[in-house]
Amino acid sequence: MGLIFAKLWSLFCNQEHKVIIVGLDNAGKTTILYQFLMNEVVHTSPTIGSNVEEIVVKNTHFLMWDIGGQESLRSSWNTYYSNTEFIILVVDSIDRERLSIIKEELYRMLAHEDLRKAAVLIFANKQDMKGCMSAAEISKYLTLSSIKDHPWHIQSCCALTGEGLCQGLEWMTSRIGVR
Amino acid sequence: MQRNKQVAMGRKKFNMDPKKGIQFLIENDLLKNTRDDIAQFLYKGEGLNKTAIGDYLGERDDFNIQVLHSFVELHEFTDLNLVQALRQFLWSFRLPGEAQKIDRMMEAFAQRYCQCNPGVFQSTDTCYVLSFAIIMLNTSLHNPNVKDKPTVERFIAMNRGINDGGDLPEELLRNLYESIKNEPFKIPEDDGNDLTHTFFNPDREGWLLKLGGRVKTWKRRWFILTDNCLYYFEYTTDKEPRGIIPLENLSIREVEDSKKPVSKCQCWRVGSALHFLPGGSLGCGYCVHVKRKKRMIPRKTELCKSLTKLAYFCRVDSDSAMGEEAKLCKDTQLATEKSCAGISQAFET
Repeated sequence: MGLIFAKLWSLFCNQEHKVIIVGLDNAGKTTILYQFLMNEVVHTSPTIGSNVEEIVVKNTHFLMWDIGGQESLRSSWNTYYSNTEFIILVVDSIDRERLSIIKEELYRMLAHEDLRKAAVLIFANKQDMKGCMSAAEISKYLTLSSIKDHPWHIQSCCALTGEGLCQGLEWMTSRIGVR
Repeated sequence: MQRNKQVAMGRKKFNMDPKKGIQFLIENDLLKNTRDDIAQFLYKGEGLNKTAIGDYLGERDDFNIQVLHSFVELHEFTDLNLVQALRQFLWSFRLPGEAQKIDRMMEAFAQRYCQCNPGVFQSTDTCYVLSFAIIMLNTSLHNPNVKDKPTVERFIAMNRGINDGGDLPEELLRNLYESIKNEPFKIPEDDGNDLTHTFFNPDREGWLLKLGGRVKTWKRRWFILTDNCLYYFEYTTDKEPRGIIPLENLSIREVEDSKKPVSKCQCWRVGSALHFLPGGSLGCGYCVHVKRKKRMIPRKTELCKSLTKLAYFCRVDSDSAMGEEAKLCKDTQLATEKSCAGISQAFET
């Protein structure tokens, strides 16, 4: 009985979960965002502004915002963090040089009040490229294991082929049950 | 002849792959490889796809960023308010959806805006952050994927402290919010030979209330003043105007109209010369009126229909915080008066 109620509840209550996609230029944010949409009919009346797409996975609605991740760390970007439940951080696995910038940005975000409750999904993108870092290497460099106050998950992927993206989304949906 | 053909080919290539197109034009000596020449080429935009222009300007490559800056410098923003300037800027190319690209473009835009309008903002940084916020506001209010639309209060709250640590005047933020809410940024159209050219870069543009010709109710119309003509549209995104009012042979005067929909506004009558003919069933006419907080723009009606009609322009009594709008109204009035002074003089004598 309780199960039925829970199911009905989830049907009616398809509340939207806010996701922000961050990462450096050229990491593959846009490609990933539009790969998520691949199997859906895209009926957007185009709007001037940043990319925002709704992704539905197993009845769970995610509203994904591309908010970049600004090189010019201006404090005002924080205003776009409010109510965020998930952060998707896209890492270019080839770009060893800028990994330190990513690390800095990641910890800056995690320390932010509005992101206190957000879970972090890290995509180690471009796994098809020669000489790329593995998810484990990136995890080690970013010292992900030291993050105790946010749920996190790292997923290797290749945005061009879509490999690994579903697993990432599945992790996100599984987190919603936990709440 | 050969050259024209090659330029056309270069444009086609550009539309498919901007970088390759530019390279082709340079290799064939059709375009000089300098930031200014390329910017000029993009700014003129003849035969170019606006999305392709946006893609080129959005690249993170150093040279592309330089071209972006030269491109922005070709725009003239003097005396435009921030949203007007943004509307003009965002018409010249299709803004990419990547936040980082938007960020760079707004930074370049803000520099130019502050250069054209010294003293409007305390710092370029304030202008830049606010411009970015306006883009995000447009996204939130008009992207159908976003269901949770921010209220004006939230918009104001989000922009706390962006003025070098202080707040911007609430009135300013409210006006920006209203402007974007009522009027999303237009998706730029690609270069073609339609009327869009005429309506781009108008002398003045904005919302006015107009008294209907047949049905005597006040309707909100988007007016454009350009080439000595007033054009009006139902929506800003319309390609064809609903009517045109050539401003020659017209006289304009302020009138009292008890039925005007907003009490605290001025009413202007724009009449064709025929208006002064005895026995004319005048006074029906067209009314244009600006709602408070909106910019007023002149509009036009179809000449054939309007010969015996009058147009009224109403405007917000301005001095209250709406300095910009008031100025606009005045300019409109002046332009119109100038244009018709000759005729009405001839008529009266």
